[in-house]
Amino acid sequence: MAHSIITVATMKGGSGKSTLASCLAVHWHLKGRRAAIIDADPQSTLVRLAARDKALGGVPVIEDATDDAFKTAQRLVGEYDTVVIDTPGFRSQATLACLGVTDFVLVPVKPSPFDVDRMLDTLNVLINGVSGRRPVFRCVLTQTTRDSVIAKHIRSELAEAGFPVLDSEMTNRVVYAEAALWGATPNLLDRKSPAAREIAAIADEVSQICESMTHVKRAASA
Amino acid sequence: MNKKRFPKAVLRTADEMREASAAPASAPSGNVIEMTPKSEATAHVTAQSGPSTDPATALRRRGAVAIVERYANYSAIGGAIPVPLANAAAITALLVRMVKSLSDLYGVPFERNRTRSVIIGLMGGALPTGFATIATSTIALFVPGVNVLGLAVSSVTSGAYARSIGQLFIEHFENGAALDLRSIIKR
Repeated sequence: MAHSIITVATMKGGSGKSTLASCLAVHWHLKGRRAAIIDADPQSTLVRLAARDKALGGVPVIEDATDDAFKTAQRLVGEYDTVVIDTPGFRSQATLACLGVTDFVLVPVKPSPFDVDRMLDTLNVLINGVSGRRPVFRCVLTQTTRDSVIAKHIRSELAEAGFPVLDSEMTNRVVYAEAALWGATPNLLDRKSPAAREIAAIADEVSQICESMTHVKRAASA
Repeated sequence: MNKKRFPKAVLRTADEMREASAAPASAPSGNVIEMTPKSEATAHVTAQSGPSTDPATALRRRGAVAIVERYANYSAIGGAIPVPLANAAAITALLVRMVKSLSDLYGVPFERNRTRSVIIGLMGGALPTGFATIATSTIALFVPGVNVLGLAVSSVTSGAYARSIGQLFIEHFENGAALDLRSIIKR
């Protein structure tokens, strides 16, 4: 996977953006990639998490909740292989600016109509372009109950409506909150845990998409 | 096996979003001299369907906001006309044209004289500082050295009032109402 900026964004709070962003960054860090997180959320969730004992395994967390967070991302992407941006759970100029420079957007959504409705506003922005760009994006189901009918229902409806959804999803597990007590993610505490496997599956899908995008760009410029 | 049956959770499709973005603003239609809404049924449906849930309504509202913004800019230019009272007349004419464009967009019958009365009523009565600010700033044109300041104030306030009156009419038409001074001022 080439140097890339990955933004985790949705205008709905509590959808699991910070959890997803931290888990992915830790996953790539454990895989030997240089990964960094930009915490563009004024709630500073990941900055606070990194201040705890395990400090997200040493993944650097840069706090920048200003409208210039995208500039910080552009500066860091030369220094790190992957820069993951965690955005606020509401519409903000900082989020829109980050979407304008990102290589890939992950849109977490809980399988609930409240979350889906608000997420569609985010997808509307992505589909109609930000700063003249239409970033590649995928929805990812978060906090799902394993094999629940509602999760399957929403997954199939999203696909049917033309919104791409990752095959992998984050199921709701207490281990996320438990790990956070140490300033860690489940994959940092136990790389073979079910949660770690789910995170790895999401990360692999994202990596594959980013790689295929890189190939397309190279082919286009050749 | 999934035996539960759920209603739709995803109320918009990707194609609808693309179409809503690509569709041009509604073209203006002819000048209709009537004062009644198209039909009570249409008004009822318009009032029921919120702008956030119905893509067509959201699209129409976006077109309406674009019209208001365009005329707010024109009014700002009109407010900078350095001829006292002529600029106020120009702005009134522009606002009448803005309401006509909004009427066309919402399919509401339009009457020029009635609209002019509504706008003059809004600027001079419901928005008491509207005409007063424009008039004061144009009077400032007579004072040597204050001319430029007077023009700037007149320009800014003209644009702002065009925008606020436009928003008022959008809300009014969104609820399916016709051109009626009393019901607009009540808002």
